[in-house]
Amino acid sequence: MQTTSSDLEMLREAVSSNCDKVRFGSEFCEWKIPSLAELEKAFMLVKDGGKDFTYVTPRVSDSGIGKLVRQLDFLNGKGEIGVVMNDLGVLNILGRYPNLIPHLGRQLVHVPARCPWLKRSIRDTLLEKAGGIDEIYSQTSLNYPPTIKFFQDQGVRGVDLDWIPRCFPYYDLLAKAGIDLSVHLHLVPVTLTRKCHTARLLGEDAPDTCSRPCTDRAFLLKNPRLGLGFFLHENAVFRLIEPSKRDVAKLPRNGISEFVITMSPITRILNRERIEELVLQLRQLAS
Amino acid sequence: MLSAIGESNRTRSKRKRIPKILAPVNSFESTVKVIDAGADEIYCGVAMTGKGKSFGLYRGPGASPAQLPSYDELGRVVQHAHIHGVKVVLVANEPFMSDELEEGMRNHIRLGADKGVDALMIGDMGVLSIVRDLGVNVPLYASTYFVSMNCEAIDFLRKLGFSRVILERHLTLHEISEIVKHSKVDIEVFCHYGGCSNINACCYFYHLRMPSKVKEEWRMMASSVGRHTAPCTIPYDIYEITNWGDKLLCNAPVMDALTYCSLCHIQALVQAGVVGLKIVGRLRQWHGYGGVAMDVRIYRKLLDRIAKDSAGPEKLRETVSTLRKEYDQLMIEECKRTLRAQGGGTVKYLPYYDFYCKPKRCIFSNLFNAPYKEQELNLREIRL
Repeated sequence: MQTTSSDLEMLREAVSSNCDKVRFGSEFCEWKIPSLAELEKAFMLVKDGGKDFTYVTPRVSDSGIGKLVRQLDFLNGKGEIGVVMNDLGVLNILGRYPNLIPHLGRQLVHVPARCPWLKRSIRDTLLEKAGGIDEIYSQTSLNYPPTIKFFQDQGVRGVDLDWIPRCFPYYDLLAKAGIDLSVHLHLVPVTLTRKCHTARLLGEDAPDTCSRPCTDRAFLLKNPRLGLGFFLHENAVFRLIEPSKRDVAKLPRNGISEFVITMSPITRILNRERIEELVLQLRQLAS
Repeated sequence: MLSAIGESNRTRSKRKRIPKILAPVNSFESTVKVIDAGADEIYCGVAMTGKGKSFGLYRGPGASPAQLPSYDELGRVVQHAHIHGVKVVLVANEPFMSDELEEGMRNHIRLGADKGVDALMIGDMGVLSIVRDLGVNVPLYASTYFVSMNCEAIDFLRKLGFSRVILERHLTLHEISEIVKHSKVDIEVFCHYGGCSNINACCYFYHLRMPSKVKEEWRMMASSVGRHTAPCTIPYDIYEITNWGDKLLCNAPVMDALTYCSLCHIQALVQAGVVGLKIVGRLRQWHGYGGVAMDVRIYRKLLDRIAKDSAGPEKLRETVSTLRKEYDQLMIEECKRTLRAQGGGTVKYLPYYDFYCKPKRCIFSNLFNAPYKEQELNLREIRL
């Protein structure tokens, strides 16, 4: 069980909880990459708490790369550390750090089943009749053997995936290819932007001066005709999928290395108690 | 000292280069039109055969009116383009590959190379492996589906054999300029239409794959606000999560950050040294009215003007203003011509300025320059 947090207060809660590992960093927003001082503090906090540390990085422009290079220099000096990367440029620079283990982030794995209306779309466009095409919509881009081999050749050992039950059989195939799987609970990213919808909604003028109102604010977006809601947090839009007993049973028994719990206003998992509650709930579902 | 002079000359020569205009085509007829309008390169897909015929996450090689109908048609397109000195880029940029789709993609690439295309546009490592496996000797362009936003990503793609990289749409002029300065491959950017609200490769709204019932509902909604029918442009009610149930805004197009035009920024892009300016709209060709050819025409005129003299900002503003008016005249004529050919009917047309400029739909505007803030869109505030 691994917990992701993007600020130090939340990190303290995660470290004091019963999760096994702790992730720190920004998965989606380049402008929320912590400073080097914050990263150093976070690293010490996690290590002092006796937990494994994983650093999470988003898609970045050149200015983000500049920031990350200094941070990766620091982490490389601390022994073997996993780095979740969502950008090919970050994968490129990770090749220069022998101690840092590249872990493929969700933005570098295409999963058509993230589409909110996939089932209806397949039914509507008669794809099922095309024989086998329906199955493609349960796969990830890594299920094509040359693609996974490409990333393994780049040193990638693990990959982040979503809690999408129809994809679970294909996760099993990835695990058999020797990849460590980290499955994110609850939040499935549907779309992502640099023209941050939250910042624009709340009247922020520019990325550099953004006051980061998303730290504790998130929004439910509903259109009455659409029949489903989306969640807006930071510069990403999510679907929320709650784990059910039936879906837990469908999970590949030996394939998943870890579950990732994201600390977020959407899931209201913001403190140690909530993390432990969820861990307990998952154990009950699995038993 | 010598190397410093050399570097400076290289930078200057990069800055003098006039970028190529890349136009989308989906038929032989549209090819003739955009080449006539001044396109330097064209890009197109072909409806894939086999299982891939029914598969298309975006507008990759699946069945869609955005594609050329057949490889024979591709042959005709290539022949016509080459006669006019225009290059043809074949898209093979589905950001996804699977065992089931492999055979269709192999055929697509092989047939494209046989027909003489000048480059392949790739957006997935699996597809790249197929190209390598086939040993096809055609230049490779890295699609926007690789979401290239920094020099390291471009260097990574260069090492994989790509000779041109198409940048992610959400970059600022300054970021583009820095990338061009430091990259060893050609850099292409989107200049007209298709300035999506979200990063394409990370967007799973799949508006082209929407069920027809939903599409119909959205069309009804869209007609009330005069907008497009896509999940990122329709209005939403927005609830603050920390106070469950509290509605913050009603009926707000919160995700609509679509941008369309970069006429006013072309001079800056020329100075930055980009090699290609891409006009989006393979599907727009299908709607008729020659919109893409009109886009090509005005960008051609502007680039020719920039190449001819180094016009100052004031003169360029005048030129852009004149081109917008010219565009309106040409479009109205084109619409009339199309209607005559159809034997009557009506069509609505919004002048260039009202469609693009008034709502500030500029591709290279500030990242947080929210178009919906600038419009009177009935954003009714309930509670902050």
